[in-house]
Amino acid sequence: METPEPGQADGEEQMVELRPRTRSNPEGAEDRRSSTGSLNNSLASPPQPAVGSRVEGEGEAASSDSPLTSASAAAAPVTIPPSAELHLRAPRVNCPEKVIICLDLSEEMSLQKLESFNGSKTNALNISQKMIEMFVRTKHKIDKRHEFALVVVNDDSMWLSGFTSDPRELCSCLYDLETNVCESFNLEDLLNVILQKIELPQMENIQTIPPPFVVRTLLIFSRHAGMLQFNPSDAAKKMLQSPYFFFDVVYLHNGTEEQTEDTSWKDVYASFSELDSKGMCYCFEVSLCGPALELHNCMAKLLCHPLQRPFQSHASYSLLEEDDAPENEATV
Amino acid sequence: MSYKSGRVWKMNSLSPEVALSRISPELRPLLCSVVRNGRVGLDSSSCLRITDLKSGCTSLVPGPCCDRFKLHIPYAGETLKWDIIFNAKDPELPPDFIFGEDADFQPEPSELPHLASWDAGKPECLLQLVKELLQQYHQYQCQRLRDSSRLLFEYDSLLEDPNYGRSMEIYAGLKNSWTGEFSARFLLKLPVDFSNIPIYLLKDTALDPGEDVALLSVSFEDAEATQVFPKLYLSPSIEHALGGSSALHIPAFPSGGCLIDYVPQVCQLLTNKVQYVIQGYHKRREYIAAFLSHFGMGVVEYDAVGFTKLTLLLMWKDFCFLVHVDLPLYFPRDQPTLTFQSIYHFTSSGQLYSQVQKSYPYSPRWDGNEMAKRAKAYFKSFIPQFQEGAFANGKL
Repeated sequence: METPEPGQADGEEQMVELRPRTRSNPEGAEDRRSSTGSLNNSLASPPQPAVGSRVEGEGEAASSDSPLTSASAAAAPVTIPPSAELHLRAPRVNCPEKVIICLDLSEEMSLQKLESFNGSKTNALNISQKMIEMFVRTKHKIDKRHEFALVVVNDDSMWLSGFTSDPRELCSCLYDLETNVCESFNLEDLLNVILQKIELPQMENIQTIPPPFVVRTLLIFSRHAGMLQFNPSDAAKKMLQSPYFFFDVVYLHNGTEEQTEDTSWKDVYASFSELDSKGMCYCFEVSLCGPALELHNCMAKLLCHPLQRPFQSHASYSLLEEDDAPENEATV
Repeated sequence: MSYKSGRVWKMNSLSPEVALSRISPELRPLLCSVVRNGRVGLDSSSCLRITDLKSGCTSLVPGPCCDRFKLHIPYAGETLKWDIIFNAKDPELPPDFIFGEDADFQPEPSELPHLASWDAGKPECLLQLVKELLQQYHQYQCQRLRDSSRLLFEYDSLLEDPNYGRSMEIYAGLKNSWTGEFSARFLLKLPVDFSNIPIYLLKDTALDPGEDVALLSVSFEDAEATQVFPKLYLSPSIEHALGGSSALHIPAFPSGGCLIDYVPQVCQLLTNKVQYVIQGYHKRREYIAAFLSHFGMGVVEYDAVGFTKLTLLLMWKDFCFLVHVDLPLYFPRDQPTLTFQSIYHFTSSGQLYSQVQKSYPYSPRWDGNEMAKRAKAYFKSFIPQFQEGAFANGKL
């Protein structure tokens, strides 16, 4: 089937010139091979965005040289996790997601420190509940095949609901939750609870064949539990390394206000980042004492499909006032 | 014609497996090639069916020993029911045929190569013979058109056109016994090229696609061609790809018109639809590529198979919002729908707070890049009032 190249931008956006489509190079596929690995696969390979293509650091050719990426690289360092080159990436297809929302119910979630829009104080649980509802409903609106599950995290984790594609089913479990004092955070337990409920796809060719679905864990976490004590089982390690599993985190912290233990929130945040061996997960930190707006915005950024979203460090959402300037890096 | 009923087996027709289990073993290979996907006419969605499987042997002969059956053959919108009679005791011999009610259909043996050199050892032999008989039958029906000079003219003019002449089935056996009125049906395979329809549109149907084909059936209810009823049949996946049942709409047959003018018109209409759909796919793909280029860092999701939708996450002065873009089948003729959504607000009834925009500055003549630029400008102009509206009317 003949398909033309995607339209090319002119002038200011300076898209990379795709090689002309010929018999030996259908759809400019050789340029695209480095990002999707597919040749002549008009179904699975999305149009090549010359701007915003992910930098993989594994000997990718032209796609990473677009002026825009290098401009943003000048603005802030591009972080490429060192082990990224060892991980194959699935094609950028919007397959159904199975999203496991893990909500921390430690008492920090009910501290009334977040500043809501009208200036009054609210708590993280409140905002999280609303944003989870927004999240599942929006995902459902975008694609009715997405499925959701709810896990609550106390001293250990409990699977409350799911998987379901009906957002109302999940939301019905969402609002009757209470926080309590939690001693510790058992990450292994959480991962085991998840392991028991999912089975990740095994595809013959990771880079060219889209999976039937991907699994994403979305952890909203706020307790001061110190560094993560984490000895993952083999099964958990395998899950974390799968190209079809993502572990996104929103970490709500007290900022620099309290440094009660030896570890500061930055250390905890760093240890979450270390879970992300593929460099493809999203990890946000939000201050519990700041504006609730930040938490809202993080959840919005987490709407992005894990196979289609840019590396977190590349993500940028601004609508600029000026017409021709390149987009800025987003603040994380 | 049975596109709508697909492969529904009627109560009295035998499934291939049952028929094959009951037929005399020597005849089984011949029957096999007929019942397993044997197709003889233009209507390739309909299979040949078997009923009334019987044996000419005495009851002393142990089964399975059936050697005769009725074969149902779709033809020109009718179903012919031909008796095919073998002799289980002499399986080498070719069968006899009884051509239903068409008692005066006498095929010319010299036009039946597979009868002349019948080889019971070749499994395809019966199927080929049936095809040859059907061609003869077609000729026989065309002869009957002589009863109406008008219809004969229609036939002759189509015959001359290589586009249609070789893919016709005529049934002129309809006669109104009260009025003596003569009528006929023409079934034409339309030479429309469906090969470039994007595969995802065809894959989506759960029906057996078979061959992608368009058939035009034209019924002449009277010999003077004053009552003419055309009908279009598309194979299920094509119908789906072209937008569903609306794809079957064709102009009425003009009074005083003739097929040689009308049929090309229908072909052109279909070809245009196919082109629209193909073009739409490529245009949508170009559009999404351009939008990813302009907004790529903020993409939430996009349809990477059919390019029918895209959701963007954008921020304006710390205000985050979503834009859902829905691209219609006949894009760019039809304008994409934009739905703006606030991520902070719900409506008073608890729904997501969003606003649909269907008529914003747009031209189908812009290329994808221009559309992206104009969309960006539109977003910038619209967002302030959207934000205001969200905070005024939405619930946090």
